[in-house]
Formats: sequence, structure tokens, C-alpha cells
Amino acid sequence: MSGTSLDMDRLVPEKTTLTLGFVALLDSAPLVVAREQGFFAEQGLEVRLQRENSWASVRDKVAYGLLDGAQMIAPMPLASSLGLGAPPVAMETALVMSRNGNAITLAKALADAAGIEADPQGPDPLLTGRLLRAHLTGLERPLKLATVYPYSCHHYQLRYWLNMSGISPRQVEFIGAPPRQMVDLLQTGQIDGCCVGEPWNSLAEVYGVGRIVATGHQVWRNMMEKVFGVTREWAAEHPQTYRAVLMALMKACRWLESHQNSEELFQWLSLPPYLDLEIEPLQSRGLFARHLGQRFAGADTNFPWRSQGAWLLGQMREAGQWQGPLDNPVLDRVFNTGLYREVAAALGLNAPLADYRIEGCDAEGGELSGTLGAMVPNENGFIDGICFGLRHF
Amino acid sequence: MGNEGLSVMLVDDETERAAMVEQELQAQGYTVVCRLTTTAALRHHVERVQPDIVIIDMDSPDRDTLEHMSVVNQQNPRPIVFFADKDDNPDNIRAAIKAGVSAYIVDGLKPNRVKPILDVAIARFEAFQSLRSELLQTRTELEDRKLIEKAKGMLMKHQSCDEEQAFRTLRKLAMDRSQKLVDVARSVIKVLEVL
Repeated sequence: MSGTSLDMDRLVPEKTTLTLGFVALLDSAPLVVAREQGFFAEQGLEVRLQRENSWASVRDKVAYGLLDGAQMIAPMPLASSLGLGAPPVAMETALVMSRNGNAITLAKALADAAGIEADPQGPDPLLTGRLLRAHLTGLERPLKLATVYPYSCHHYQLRYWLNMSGISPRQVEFIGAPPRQMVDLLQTGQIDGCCVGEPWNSLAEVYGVGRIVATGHQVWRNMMEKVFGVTREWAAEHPQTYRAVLMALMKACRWLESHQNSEELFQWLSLPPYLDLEIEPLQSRGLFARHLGQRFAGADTNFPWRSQGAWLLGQMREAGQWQGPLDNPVLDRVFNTGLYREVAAALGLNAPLADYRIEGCDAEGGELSGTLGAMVPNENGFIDGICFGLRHF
Repeated sequence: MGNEGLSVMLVDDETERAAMVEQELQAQGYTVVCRLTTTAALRHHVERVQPDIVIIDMDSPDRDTLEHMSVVNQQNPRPIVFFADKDDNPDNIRAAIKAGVSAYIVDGLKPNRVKPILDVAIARFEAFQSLRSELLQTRTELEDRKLIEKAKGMLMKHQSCDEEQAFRTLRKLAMDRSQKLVDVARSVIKVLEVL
């Protein structure tokens, strides 16, 4: 892929009118900004953003060409390439659009009963886990916990935190529900808790129906969350368009790093069909809750680490969704690190030289070799302090 | 016809469209065991009814609930991409997705038993697209219709999209929020008017 380097200053997109899909979550912001701030237009692209109501329809519409590309949960290109949950379609990503932003929220009544108090500084996930576990021993029924999609960081982070807290999956009934329904389901007592992306955790708190007991950022520090995904077929047929889209999205991500709580961003996200008026209650407290650690750019934020792909593969195996060795060649096809470096170079940004690293080990001060010299990556680590790496590097 | 014993569940917010599909399926000897609009209780209905096939609007937010069920329990219907036949070309699949049909079937069901059902759904969904504006006129109050038209126009302008896409956006918003189309139209107008 990187062997067919193009002149990034003079991209002539094969296709200039595009439809890209998104799900109404705060981390759809890079796509919204790229359109509204004119970064797509700068690249000669006219982009229509199409709201999708489920991850399943994002997958299907990208797979069969009704969308050119889309915001995807990080495990989606991998799951789709492996044929998990649907017939296999080879997909890839060259850009991580955001990290963090999920949280585990318990119904307020349950949190109260378990003695879990609200903490404005953010929750202590080890303490909340212990309290929940202690409370469960007196509970006769399994805990009903919802996540948005079986192949998602939400699902895996929830399982990880439960495991860490000594709560067995057998004590839990996992169900799937769309993000928007979580607040209602919590309110009506149909679920005991959920792991979902923003703004739904913050809204559950604002409406007084839920309490955040752990953030995704605490469970897995700076793991990839949403990626820009396309089919490999589309990527091969539209190399210049693809690069132009990535350029625009990377500019949008960088813009977001300094404008996360700007009035402008709030106004754009309040537009239909983006998040519309649903985010209104968050205006006074700031759109992005600090302790959720949502990140859009800087250091290696946008780099699609294959080692993180291997980590996700491990989580799929852990959840019983997939079997096989983790050093799977599919990782090299799904996480297009070469193309990322190419786009970063065109924007004058440093990018990691390695595709794989040991995840979770920040010990040595963590400097990495980059295309433009040494770089300090984002802090990374897992709540249980483990290090994760494949044997071959 | 050998269609006995296959039970179908329809999940669709467009009640007229669902009725059209049901009628045609029944005429061909299938049993439609359950017809639902978008619902938070979909999970319970599937567990109770145990359908062989679920036909669900492509844009329904409940699809992810079904996908989750199929992963958790092998007995639950699993997603299929229309026809498993190798001779079917991707254009047919695209057409089906474009018509807005998605389907979930229980394990072990043969494609040739499912295909006629999907063909019915796709044909009815397609036919409904042209019927829709007519239906909107007969069942919606004039005032509401004006609001929907206005919101559509504003979305077309802001999102640089065509009429069909603007309408679909409104519908998706309505489905996602379990709101009436006219209520969504009102909120869209409120937001876009201040721009």
C-alpha cells in the first residue's frame, strides 16, 4: 500500500461526492468538523454525512457500497474481515479518529444500594467494582448489563472491569441495546447498568438515573475507540479520494484538540442530523466530561497500532467470539499503518515507525522512534497493570 | 407449498408497509407470528415468539439488539446478507439494502427456503417507496405535512442532499427517538432556523 505513494499535494480524487456514515455520539465530531469547518471542501470533496441508527447498518452499508466509508467502532473492520457476526468483507482502517470516551454507568438505585457514591473527580473503578461485588452476593438474580454491540470496546471493557472486580460473567446477563435507549432502560429499571459512549453516560447522570462507576479510559488507558473504516476494495479503487478524506479528517482531529469545548463545536453537534438538541442539557457542564479522557489528536492518538488490533482480537477470543492465534496476518491488512504514515508526512506530523509494540508498558519513559525522530506516545496501560505483546517482536 | 412451519417476525415502524408484507407472505402460505414497531422490548418478543426469520427495517436502531442476541445464544436468529447463493450478484444485495430490508434467520435454515420470503419483503419495501408520499398525504394533517415538508427542505439545503435522503434522515431521527415524524420536523426546524 505505502509502495504506491501518491503526490499528496496534488491529489485528484477519483470521486468527489461522497456519503460517509456516522452514529450520533460525541466521537462523531471529527466527521462533523471536517464537513462544517470545510476541511473536506479544502480537499475538493463534497461530503454528505449520513446518520445511521445501528452499527449493523454501518457495517452492511459500507460492505455493499451504500456508504463510501464510515465512523466505526475499532473492532468492526477486524470483525468484518474475519466474518464474525456477518459474512466476511475485507475492511481496513488507516486512521483512529478518537480514543476513550466510554463509561460504565450503573442505575442510580443500584449504585446507592451498593454504597457507591458520586465523585465529581471521577470514579475509583477498583473501589466501585469491590462495592458492586459485595452487593451482588445478596442479590438472587443475575445483573442485567447492556452494551451497544457485541464486537465493541464497550462490551470488552465492561467484561474486563467485571473480571477485574471478581464478578463472574455467570453472574451477569449481557444484553444489547442502542445507545440512545440506555437512559430510558436505566430509568425504567429494565437494565442495572450499561457501558456506552458519550453523551449517554453524562446524560444519565444529568437526568439523575445513572452513576458513572468506571470510565473506559481507566480500564484501558488510551485504547483506540472509533476508527475511519472502508472496504479494502473501495480503498484500492479510490486511492486519491481515500487520501483526501484522511487528510481532511486528520485536520479535523487536530482542530478538535484545541476546540473540544468551543461554542462552535457545540453549535455544529446540535444540528440535525448530528446529535441535535439531545446534547442541550450538557451545555452548562461542558460537552466532554474531563475524566472520560476523550482524545482526538496529538502524539500517536490517530495511529492504528496493530498491537492494539491484536489486543482486540484477544478480547474477542476471551469473550468466546473467535478462536485462533493472535499473531494473525489479518492485522497487517486491517490496520493500514503505512498509509497513516504517508498522510502524517504530508501534514508534517511525526508517526511511529513500528507497527507493533508492547501494550501497557510505559515503564521506560516510553519514547518511540518516529518518522521525524523520537516521539513521546500517549500514556497506555491496563487497569490490572499487565503488559501485552506478541512473541515475534 | 411447503411453507408451513416457517414463522416470520416483522419489525417495522411503517405500519402500512408491514401490513403489505404480511398480507403477501400470508397469501404465499407463511405464518407471520408477530408484527412490531420499533420497541425496547424486542428482545422479549424474540425470546417469547422464537421466530425462524426476523425481517427488520435496515435503519431500525433495534438491529444491534438482534445482533447481540445472535452472538449470545446460538438458538437466536442470526444476520444474513440476503441470499447466500453464489450466483447472486452484489447489485441484488445493494438493491435489497437500498430498499431498506435486513433479515435474521435461525441457524440451519436453507437459503432456498428464505429467499422467497426476502423477495416478498424487498418487493413490498420497494413498492412502498413510491406509495409513501400518497400515504403521507392521506393520513397526515395538512399542518403537520407542511412542517414535515419545511424540515425536509431545510435539511436538503443544509446537508446538500436530495429529497429522499432528507426524508430518510427525518425518519431515522424519529425511529431513533421513538418520536412522531412531525415532532422531529419541529425540532429540526427549530435548530436549523437559527442558522
